[in-house]
Amino acid sequence: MIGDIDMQKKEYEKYLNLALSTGADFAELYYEESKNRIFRLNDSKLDSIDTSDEKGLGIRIVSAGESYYTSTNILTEKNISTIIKRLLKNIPKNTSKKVKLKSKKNYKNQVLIPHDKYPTNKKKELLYLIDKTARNYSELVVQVSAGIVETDKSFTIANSNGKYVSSSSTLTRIITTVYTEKKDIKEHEFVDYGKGMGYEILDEIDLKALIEKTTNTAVEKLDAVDFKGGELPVVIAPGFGAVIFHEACGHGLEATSVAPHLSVFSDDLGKKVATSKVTLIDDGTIKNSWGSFVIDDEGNNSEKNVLIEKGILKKYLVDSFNSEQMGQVPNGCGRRQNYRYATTSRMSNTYLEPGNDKIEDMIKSIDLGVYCNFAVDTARLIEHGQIKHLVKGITLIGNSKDILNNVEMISDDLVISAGYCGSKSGMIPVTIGQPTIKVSKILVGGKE
Amino acid sequence: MNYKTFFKKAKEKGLTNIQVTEKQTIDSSVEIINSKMESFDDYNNIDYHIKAEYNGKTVKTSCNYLDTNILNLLILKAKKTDSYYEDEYLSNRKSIPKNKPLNFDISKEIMLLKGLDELKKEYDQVQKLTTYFSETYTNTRIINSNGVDISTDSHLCSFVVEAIAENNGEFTSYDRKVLETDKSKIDFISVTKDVLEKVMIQSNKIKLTTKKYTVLLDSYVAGKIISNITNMLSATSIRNKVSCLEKSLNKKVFSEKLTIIEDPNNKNYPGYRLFDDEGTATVKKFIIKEGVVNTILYDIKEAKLKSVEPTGNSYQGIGTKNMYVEPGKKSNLELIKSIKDGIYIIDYMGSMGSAISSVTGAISIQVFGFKVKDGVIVSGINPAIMTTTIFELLTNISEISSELKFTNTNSASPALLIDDISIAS
Repeated sequence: MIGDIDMQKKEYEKYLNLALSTGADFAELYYEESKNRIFRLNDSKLDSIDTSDEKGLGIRIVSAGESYYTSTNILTEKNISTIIKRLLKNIPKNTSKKVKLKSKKNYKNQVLIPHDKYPTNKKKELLYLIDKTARNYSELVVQVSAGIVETDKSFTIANSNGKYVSSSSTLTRIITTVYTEKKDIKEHEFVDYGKGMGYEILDEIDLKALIEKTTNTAVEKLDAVDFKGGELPVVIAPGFGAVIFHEACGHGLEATSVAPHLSVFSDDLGKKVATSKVTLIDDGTIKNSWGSFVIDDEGNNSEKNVLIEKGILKKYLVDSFNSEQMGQVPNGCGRRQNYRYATTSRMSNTYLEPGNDKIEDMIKSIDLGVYCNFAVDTARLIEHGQIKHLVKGITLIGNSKDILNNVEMISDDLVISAGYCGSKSGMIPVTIGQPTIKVSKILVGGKE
Repeated sequence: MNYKTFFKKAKEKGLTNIQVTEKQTIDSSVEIINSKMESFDDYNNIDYHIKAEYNGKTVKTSCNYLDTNILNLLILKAKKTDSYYEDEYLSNRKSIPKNKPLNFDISKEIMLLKGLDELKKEYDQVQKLTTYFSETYTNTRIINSNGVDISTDSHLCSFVVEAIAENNGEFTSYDRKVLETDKSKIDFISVTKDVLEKVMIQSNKIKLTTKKYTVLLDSYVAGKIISNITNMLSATSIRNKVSCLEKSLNKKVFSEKLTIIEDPNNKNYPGYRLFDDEGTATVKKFIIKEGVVNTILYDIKEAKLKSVEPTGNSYQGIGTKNMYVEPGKKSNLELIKSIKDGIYIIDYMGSMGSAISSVTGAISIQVFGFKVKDGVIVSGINPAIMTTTIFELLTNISEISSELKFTNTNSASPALLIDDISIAS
């Protein structure tokens, strides 16, 4: 049931036919139901359970290469027909066609312990454990914020090519921020662990060790000193260091920016864009990964896409709408936050393939640089081939092509981290991954 | 399910004082790239934020439909959470009827935006011109089981232009956003021309020396940075000891030139609201007065915990509407003319949400903009990083521009001229 209408195959066909009634080339309906729960601990108490329950419908119509999208959660037959007709007012008239949907296919990711089967009291105990672990680790801890994020989502896609599929997915993420204070200096450190699974996630992590490591970092950061920035060699530790590849390179390989020629990589297919050390992969098929999915939000199977192979640009991330303009096949990357957004090409699990360089060789090779081994803004100074004290205010920037062409060494210690990516089709779960790398030259922020 | 049935079923389940904040948003938007329509989006949604009492304990939830499962969820939350507080619920309030939603049509603006592409023909190096227009109607209605039914609505029009220029194989982009409550106030042509001229200057870039500079933060940049004050002065952040302004009430922490006001009742500003999301009436107030922290920002829960009055800052978390830095007397042009050797910062980018920390006050951001020499904008700048703190930045203010522009509903600032800020390049 959607609102006061029963949304079965014939209703999907009826609305698709209405969407095509003035001669559009393509139409798609996307119906979604989702539940989000965040169990939040603050001040050593389960402070709140944030909950959000949504249902909604998104409708896309493509005509003469232009995309028209509308969305609503007012799910009455009258309103759905009205919003489709409102879109049609802007679309040039042509010959209409009829849609016949195929038999429905259902997909889901496997979940061993669903969110609603794991007792709330156990969730509370987990949060108390995080709080206790951090506070017991150091007296400098002044606050611990922790949360368990649960997302359950299901959607149905019906389009004018006859595609008729549904999918359901479950995501679980544990997040913690530890706050420290010493002589009026405040610091904090964030850590998270997320997977495309239920509470079986707890079998995968050593939560105590993870929280102790995070707390240690929050304590150490209190002694960081200012550092004068500039262009320097940098060693970036695994995991979240990879955000620089996600931002500087990954977004430039999405059809969203390639198709309208807004990317520096728009004309580079088959060209050398990085040092031969660099192989960059986006893989939505990794089992139970936070950024994975069985089918994307256009109903296409997820894929492993080698974007850059040994420095050569091999492929872009292409969604169905942009595939027409680019003359390339879609490769399972059409994603959206929810029904309020039209899909576009997005990353999933993006990582730099491991190499075989040694970390100690990277450090030894640097006379003055920084070793970024924290999640954000703090790093260790490297002087004369040795790791020294902590420095703060660190931000790394550079343009995509410079960074890719300055990757000098890559080790074999790949770590993948979960997070969210915000772009044209909203916030979506992604992972980023990288082994330790040495970049020969990058701009490092700092303060005199 | 209608409200009458929803409240009745709530009562049957033992939920009292049930209150719904209903938000209806209707939006139409279009994006044009080089005269081709990239996307047209319509949006018509209603969201609900519900709070209710169960055995004297207040609980909340968000959803976009109303049914008995939502009521069961509220009860579960009341039973399982440790924190306990009793909220205050609206009663005996004169009804403010909900206006009929606006039904707008942006087909004229689509044609207008497509025509703007002609302007780029005068600029050979400009490869792309992207324009975006949206018209949004938002209505916030609070309705509860005590018979209260009040509404406040707003209408916003947004115009964004981005130009991308190529110079020796390197791309540079420059964009501007204009936000108005009346679309007739938007001068589409002059905004687009300004963007095209600025991107040409910016595309000719020079490398800076790493040192301290006088910086002019553009209105857009200053507004974005000032928005962090909301979180720093949120009663929740302060209670949790996670704000760098935790012990700053009634203390002078910034330049005496800095006064920050919140004025949600001003209809000419885009964040116009008669009441916040809990129904507390909004009032004009000083947040920072001549560098001194004048108030902490409270919702009902935090106010009750501290036995003070709520300040009308509940917007699904503590927030502000129409918060702005009080303008000075000199124009932007006069401020630029006063700079001997400095940087005019027109945009910034942070990494992973840590660019401006409300916990430590640290700021480390990639900045984009122009080099200013002897009062004249001379070129763009190569990638650069500004590293400072909120305290240093807002203490070193030497002048505040007279030109206040809002680009969002929450906060705004005129351009700020600031001395001695570290820039690495």
